[in-house]
Amino acid sequence: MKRRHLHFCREGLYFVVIMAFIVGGAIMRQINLLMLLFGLMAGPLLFNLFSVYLMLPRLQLRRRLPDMVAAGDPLVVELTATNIFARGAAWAVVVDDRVERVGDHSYAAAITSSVMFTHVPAGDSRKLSYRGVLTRRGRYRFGPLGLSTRFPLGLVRCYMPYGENSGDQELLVLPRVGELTHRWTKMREEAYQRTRSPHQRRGMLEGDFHNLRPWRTGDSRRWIHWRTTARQGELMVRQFEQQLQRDLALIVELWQPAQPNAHQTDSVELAVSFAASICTEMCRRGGCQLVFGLSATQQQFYSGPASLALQEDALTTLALAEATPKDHLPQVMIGCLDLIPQGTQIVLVSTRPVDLNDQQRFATFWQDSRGRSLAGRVLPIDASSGELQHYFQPT
Amino acid sequence: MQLELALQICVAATSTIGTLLMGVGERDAGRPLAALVVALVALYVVDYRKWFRFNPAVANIAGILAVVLSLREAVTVGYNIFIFREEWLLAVAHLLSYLQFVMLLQEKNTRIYWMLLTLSLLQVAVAAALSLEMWFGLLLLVYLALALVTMTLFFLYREQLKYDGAATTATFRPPRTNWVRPRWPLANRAAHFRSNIQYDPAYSGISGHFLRRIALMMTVTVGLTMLLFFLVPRSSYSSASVWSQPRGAAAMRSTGFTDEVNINDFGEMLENTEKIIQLRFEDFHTGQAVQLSGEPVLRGAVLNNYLNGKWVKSNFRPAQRRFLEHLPQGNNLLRQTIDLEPMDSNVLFTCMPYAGQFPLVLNTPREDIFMDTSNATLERSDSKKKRKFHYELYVWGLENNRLPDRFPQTLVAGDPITLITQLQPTALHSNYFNGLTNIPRENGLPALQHLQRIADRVAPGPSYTHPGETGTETDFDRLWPQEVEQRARLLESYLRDSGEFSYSLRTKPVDPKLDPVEDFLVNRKSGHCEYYATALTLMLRSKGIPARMISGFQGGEWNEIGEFYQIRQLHAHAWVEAYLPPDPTQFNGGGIWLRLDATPSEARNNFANQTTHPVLAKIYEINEYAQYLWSSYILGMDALRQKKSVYQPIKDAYTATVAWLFDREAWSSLFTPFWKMLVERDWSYFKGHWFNWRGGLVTIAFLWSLVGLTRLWRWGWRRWKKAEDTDTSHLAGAATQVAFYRQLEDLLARHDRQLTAAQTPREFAIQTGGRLADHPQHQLLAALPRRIAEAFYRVRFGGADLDKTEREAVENALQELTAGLEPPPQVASNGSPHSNTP
Repeated sequence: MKRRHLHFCREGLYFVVIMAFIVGGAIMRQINLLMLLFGLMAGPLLFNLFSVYLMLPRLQLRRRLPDMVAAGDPLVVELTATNIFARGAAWAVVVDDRVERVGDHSYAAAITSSVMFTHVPAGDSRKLSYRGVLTRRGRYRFGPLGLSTRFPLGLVRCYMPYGENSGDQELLVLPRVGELTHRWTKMREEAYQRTRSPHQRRGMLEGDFHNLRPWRTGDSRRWIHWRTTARQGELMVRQFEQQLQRDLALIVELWQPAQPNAHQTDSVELAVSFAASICTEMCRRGGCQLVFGLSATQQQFYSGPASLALQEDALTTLALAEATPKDHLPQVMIGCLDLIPQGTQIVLVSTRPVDLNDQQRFATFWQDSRGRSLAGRVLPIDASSGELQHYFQPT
Repeated sequence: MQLELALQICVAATSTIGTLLMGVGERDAGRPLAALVVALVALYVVDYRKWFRFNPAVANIAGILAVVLSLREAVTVGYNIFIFREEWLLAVAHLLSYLQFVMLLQEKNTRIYWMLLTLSLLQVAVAAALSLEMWFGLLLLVYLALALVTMTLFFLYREQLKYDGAATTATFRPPRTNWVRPRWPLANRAAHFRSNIQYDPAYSGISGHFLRRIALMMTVTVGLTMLLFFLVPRSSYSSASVWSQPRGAAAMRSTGFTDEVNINDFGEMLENTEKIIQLRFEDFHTGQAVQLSGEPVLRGAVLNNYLNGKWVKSNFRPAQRRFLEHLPQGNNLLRQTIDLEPMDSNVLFTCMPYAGQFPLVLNTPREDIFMDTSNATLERSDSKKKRKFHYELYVWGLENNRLPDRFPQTLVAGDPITLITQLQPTALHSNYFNGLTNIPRENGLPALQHLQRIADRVAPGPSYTHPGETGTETDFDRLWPQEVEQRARLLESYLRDSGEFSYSLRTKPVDPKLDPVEDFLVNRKSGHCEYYATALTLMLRSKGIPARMISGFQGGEWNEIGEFYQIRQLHAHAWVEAYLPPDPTQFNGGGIWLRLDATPSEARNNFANQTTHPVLAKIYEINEYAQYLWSSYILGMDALRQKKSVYQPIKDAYTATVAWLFDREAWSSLFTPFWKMLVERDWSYFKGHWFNWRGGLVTIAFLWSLVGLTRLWRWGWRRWKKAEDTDTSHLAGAATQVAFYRQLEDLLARHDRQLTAAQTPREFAIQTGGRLADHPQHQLLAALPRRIAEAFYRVRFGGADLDKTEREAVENALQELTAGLEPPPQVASNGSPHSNTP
């Protein structure tokens, strides 16, 4: 059984002071009615004390978290309390849940959220959820849970930590996804048009499979999806979409000085959100290859067909990415060289102006023949300037 | 009913009852009435309708005015703050009332609610220091119930406010020294969570659950209070209240028992129904309460010197502390227990005669009691007369279940020699008796000639002479006591039975020039007991018979329930003690005191005993008994009473029970009836003894022991089973076999894939496999989690063991997964998919 901590609430302290005053008067002046009153006050206090002390061990808790949530999106955490005792209900038990950003020492400490189970009958369970918003991406630790009650008079509080470590769970808060502007779409279209060639076309027939829809006059019989038709009882045809997307290499540099100001911090978050928005958009549409590179405290680069799994990986990487004052961008770019197919547009999102012609900084890149061939297709976007507003609208 | 409205009603009621309790203590009805009006107005106008309320500024000014008003009240009493005065306590109490009024008229929040409750509690504390009445105790119970309801409602209300959607906010963002409009929209948004509360009908207000809980709390509280109150050790006395002098109905009784008494004083007392003494007799041997067939007679002040309608007490010997240490042997011992209300006299009232030469005083500190051996009266110290006084002593002997009218020698059995030698005529006694034959003189000549003439007429013959010399035997001592008694009886009978005199409380003199006694004897011929006693005393003295007037109490109301006598002021009485010389035929004999009562008893009883309806009388009796209990066991609970009423019975019960437990005969007698019932079918025992409390207690204790042992066994069994379950040595094979699944979970957890609460291991494996399949580099690994999960199911839930081949397959799958998900760093630096670190 976990250790329970008892302490007087503020009202309880006042109550005890009044009791001390009364018992002092009773003893000094030998007034029996004051002694009687002292007894009448001691009774509820002791009742409150025993009540809170015996209440907590009867509850078992379970927390249910979503797999992940985006920064700024509503978060619902469900708690289930089960009264494991065969007799005696649990009343007015407050469950405190501690939420802490993992590995973040530069910001304020944890936040505690509370829910109150007013009544959990013996042998029964009750569910209760609390809502909130986490505004910064990253990994959050939920727990440990704490149980407390002051029932029924609010004079004494008993607190019991629940599951010091076993009750802890983690939640990944993904970067906030914003809106890519029309100019971004146009830029991508122009890049596609410039690099379009027959052999790069993907998909079958008129395009990639997009959806199923009811048959319309003029549709080819080859498009009929017989299994769905049988199931629906009406003719259903496969709809194909012309593949307009194209491959993209997204390289993100999260740089900031050791003592960043608010502007620089905002730039990092804007860059991350912009990158997350690009990944989400591309993976939602699919049908292309995405190469992702990150220059932050840790460097990562990988590629794959745009899919939900890749989106999850990319967003996870971005969620955990932390800006660094070191310059890892040249290494990341070298690392990405082998992954970037021919003709792929390269978008370099950085939190500072990047000059690829800087021969000293990107010496290795320029020494590589493949690097030299790709250099012309790199579109650098500086998140610290107003340039980003042309492509991206944060929400 | 809405929770807040219920709370508002309860707070208003609690405040009102708090003030009412204070009003009971202060004996002031004005403030409780004002509190009631303010509470009702506040409830309707401020809380319910919200038409009006004090804003904080007005409330603060009103609070300051209340403080000033109370300070003024306190300062007018006295300036020396180092000397405690009761009036200051009253000033504090009034301040509490004023502040309460101000707060009731404010808009309520949790702080105001709590302060109102605190003020109310402080009022009750002050009231407890001021009160003496039983009604205070009853009101206190009502207050307790109401306060518990209010506090619980307040708790519910406060928790609801606190957790119902209240937000907690943290700053997961860097501090911004200069405020600039952020480019990142979330930059200025802090993380926040909203608390939540579960709504449950059983919790939302005054429900069945709620009332049951309050009832439980009340029961526990009252039980604990009783334990605490009776078991906490006390000092030698209890003061009941802070009043240095009790107030109102409980004020110190001004009676005719002081050192100087006007014979008219009794008239006022005889119309006063105020309670003054509770008297209880117990048989020494059985401890049973005893009701006398006659009236109890409580002897009080002895008055020796008379002059012009006034009696003055004179102590021939100074009062001293002389008491028996051991009770004399004898039958017919009665233990008298007396609770005396505060009085303006030191006199202690006792039934006579004491058991022994001096009284054996019980359960009272010896230093508080003195004995006047010449008058055979008891007195208490001055400091004790302001408080209720409890004392116990033994009275010796009954004659036909009545107290004897002569002492000391009234008992046949016992220790008569001790009693008789008490009044051996010594030199001291001669002077004392000479004083008891004095009658007032005017200009050197005997006064009260009318009285003497009447005495001569009624009891003819010469007066007995007393030489007045010390150390010699007087003529009076050589008389036969029967002769003296005959003369005394004649005089008593003349006043009581002749019909010439009537009983009256109206004592207006007919001839103011005459001495009041002569006016009574010659002109008015009606009066109360003090006139009769005075007249008889002086007539006896005129005949040379030593006599003294005694004032005390005679009669009382017998309380059937409490088995005690309630004696009031109107039971005050005066009578005469005449000294009879020793009987020469008795060896070592001494004189005795003969009690004579010249007051027509029938007429007096008509005044003293009022007849009431039987039902009313019963209610009255219950009320009297409750007041007796309240007065004796609550207000008067001090160290001595605690020892007698609490500690000693517990000790006795413990001793008796222990003795009974080790008494073979007792056990035998306990089980013999059962044996007879079961074997011999003899039910006769149970016809008369259907229940034995001691046997019942043993049975209950035995059954509880069985329950305890059963629980202990169950607890031990469970602990043992648990220990057995956690001892995995014999399950090492299975544990090892399941460990591979743990490895899988750990491996995947390192890659941010965790089993969620809603997933089974199989679902988790399928989901993970699907995600691996989405990556071209991991497609070959996609089937491995499912394979491991299936093996886990077979072991964990199917109870099957993996053979060597299967174990190797699982191990290979794990190695393959590890290698695929966690490639060596140098491979990653060459651009291996899905990881990193150049």
